Amino acid sequence: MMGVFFLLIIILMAWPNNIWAKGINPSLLKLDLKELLEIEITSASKYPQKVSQIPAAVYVLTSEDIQQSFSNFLPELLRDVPGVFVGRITSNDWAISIRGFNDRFSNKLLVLMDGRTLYSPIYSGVFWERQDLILDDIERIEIIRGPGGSIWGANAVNGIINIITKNAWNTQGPLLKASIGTEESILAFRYGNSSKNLAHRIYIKAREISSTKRYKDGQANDDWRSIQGGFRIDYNLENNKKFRLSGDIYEGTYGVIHSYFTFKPPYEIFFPKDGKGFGANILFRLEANNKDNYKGWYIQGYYDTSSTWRFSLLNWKNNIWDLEFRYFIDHHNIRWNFGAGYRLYDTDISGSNMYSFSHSNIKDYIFNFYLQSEIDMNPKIKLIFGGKLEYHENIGSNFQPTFRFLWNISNNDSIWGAISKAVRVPSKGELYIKGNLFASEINGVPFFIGILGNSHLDPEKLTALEMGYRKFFNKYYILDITTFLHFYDDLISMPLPKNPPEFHPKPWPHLHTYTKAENLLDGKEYGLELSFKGNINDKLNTKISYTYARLFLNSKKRTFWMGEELEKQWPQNIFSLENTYFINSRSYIIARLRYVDKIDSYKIPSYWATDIKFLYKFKNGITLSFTAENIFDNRHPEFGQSFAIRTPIREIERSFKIEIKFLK
Amino acid sequence: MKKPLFAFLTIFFLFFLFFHSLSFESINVEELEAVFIYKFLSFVYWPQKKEDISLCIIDNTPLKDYLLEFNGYPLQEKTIIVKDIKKSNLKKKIEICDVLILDNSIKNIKDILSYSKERKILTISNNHDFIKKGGMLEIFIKNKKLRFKVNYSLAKSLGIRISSKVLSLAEEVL
Repeated sequence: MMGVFFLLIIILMAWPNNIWAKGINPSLLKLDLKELLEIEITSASKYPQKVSQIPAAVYVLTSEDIQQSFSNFLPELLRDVPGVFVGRITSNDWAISIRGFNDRFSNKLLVLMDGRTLYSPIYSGVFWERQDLILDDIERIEIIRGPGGSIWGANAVNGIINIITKNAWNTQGPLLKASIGTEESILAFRYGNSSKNLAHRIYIKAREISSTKRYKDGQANDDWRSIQGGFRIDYNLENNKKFRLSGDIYEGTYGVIHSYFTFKPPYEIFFPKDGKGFGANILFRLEANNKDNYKGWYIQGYYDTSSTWRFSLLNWKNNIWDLEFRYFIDHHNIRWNFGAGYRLYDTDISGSNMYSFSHSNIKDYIFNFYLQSEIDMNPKIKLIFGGKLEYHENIGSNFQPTFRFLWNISNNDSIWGAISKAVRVPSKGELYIKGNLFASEINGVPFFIGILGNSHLDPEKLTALEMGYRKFFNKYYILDITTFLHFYDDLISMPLPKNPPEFHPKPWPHLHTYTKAENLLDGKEYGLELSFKGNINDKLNTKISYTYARLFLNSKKRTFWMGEELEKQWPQNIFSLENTYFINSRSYIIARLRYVDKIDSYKIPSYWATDIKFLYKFKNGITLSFTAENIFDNRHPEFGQSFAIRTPIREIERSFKIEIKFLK
Repeated sequence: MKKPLFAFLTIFFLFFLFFHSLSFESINVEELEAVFIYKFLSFVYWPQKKEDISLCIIDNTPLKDYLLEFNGYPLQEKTIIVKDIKKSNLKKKIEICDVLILDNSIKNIKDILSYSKERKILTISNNHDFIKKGGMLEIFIKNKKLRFKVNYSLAKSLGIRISSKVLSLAEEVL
């Protein structure tokens, strides 16, 4: 009898209390018009979480997330994302990576903006400080953890970050943004207009960022300033065809502490000197999309040029021409998706006093083809088979396959799994660099260790097993858990230099030896990524993310650099908790707490950081916000500089800023 | 025998209730349409300044229950007032409307539409070819998704401005 009573109480408590009330689903009210049009009326999961149907570890930063972010820097937006490490090295560079191998040039992470690669073929990494568009113009950022080589091609080894900008139709009217604070000041202006079939926008953004502090003492000379402008035109043609043309141009001056080697003590001298960067790109895309069926195609091409002048690092100019075609169609419940692409790199390297290349001009091309099929076995089970074949002129061909499945256990939860292969092709630096890495003395004789590229390097390879679980709860919050096991082969590393060093009498008597890049390391890595995101109630929005990963490496020879120390370069635990409290329809307050574990290889201690933002929207289109970052922490280091760029460790300071935005 | 069965049933019920209570409310067409209409109206600008926007629905349309939920909601800097009107002597009653929702059950639709035009009323329906007949916003379902068509030139000629943001999402713009 007690049992029955107990049961009744549970029934009453557990029964959805809105089952009798008609009401409007609050999660529907949050959507904008475009999102409403995406909802499938009879689908199992009513909330338009397309993400929940992707058998991969995907996290999306929506334009709302971006609006509510603390920072004006694109790389800083990634701090809340599970699986991603963001460490600010100096005021003007970041180490960002997914699942290990974090460095100034995190070479296993591919980053794209509207399909244009931001990954430098010279260093295998991304110049985050140069991606300085107005964040309000970003539609969303998709972060895909794990290998994506079967669609995105080489270098999408541990993840892909895909930045998608807003269509010009969605950026109409004027936007004016000014921000002033202890660490940065920004001025940005955008204007968009449209006629019946054509929409456009133009923008310009200028920023000035002050220096960080040097670890333990003094100024760091890493202040910087940049200006970037651009445009986008969207044109609706007949028969659901669309044409788009866009371009950006930027120039920046970045404070750097350089080092160079001498034949006399102290053998290595540090001095500050500004570096310069310039870049421009133009991109077109013609697409035909049938909104209702899975059928369409696009053709996209772009030209991208960038140059850098840095005294102690390389001076270079890189041009990319890229053409890509994709086609997708639904045929008997199998969604086919295929494409082909061609890319040409044209790189000029003029070298510096520290490094040069064995070739001063390198031209090489990549050709690729991919095919993917997505099969609905039944409404609950979906399978994906796919692969990409790539030919790199200077490296050879490679094939990156994937197999994935998704099982919808119920309307609200699903399990997915994947097995995939991905490769990273050696960077031009690894293939062709020449220079000195290290200077010291032996019995008063100057001693240098040089670095040599190796044009016979093989690509690095990854085989990955991944498994994930997602669950939607009522009123939409989503729990996402991913585990992975990665097996790496042929990772590129620098072995211990040849011993004994050779004596050279010229230009000054010195000892010299060198290390030459080789495919030395094998390894495995496992980890867990967890995120929880949703509206606890109408007033409170919560985001939690947690990342755990461990890497184990084995080397065929003893290594000098880029070796087993990578195991200790990744913080084992990363945690973030963010709460947005909507005070009323005009204002909200966001508080965030973050924890990043210690990084042993740079002797960087673990840290907690607290950030707060308050925002108020006035009736006339003006928004005022106040942000404080690292409130309880005077300053802390987040990451060290790469061995090849030997400058002191910096500390990120507490900062305050006020921002005013006008949007009509 | 009795006890294990009871235990089994209790566990089963607990699990069932647990998962069930976490399950989603379903969203039906009418609910989606109602939300869509509300969101759409926030991109519409009327020629003359008004305190409130009167949204009229004719009795017995399935949309009614959901639209009534929006009574008193803010719309731009105004408030939306949902009015439930009877079918008889319709012409007279719609004079006060800024927005009128029509459905298939209306017989003299041409008449109503031409009258709405005079009164500068924004007309909405899921009636087939509604915009060709002289309506302004036509909502329909295609491949399980909500789609819409807009008679922009008609709205413009009456001084009702519809934002280009919305037009870019439309299936068809006249």
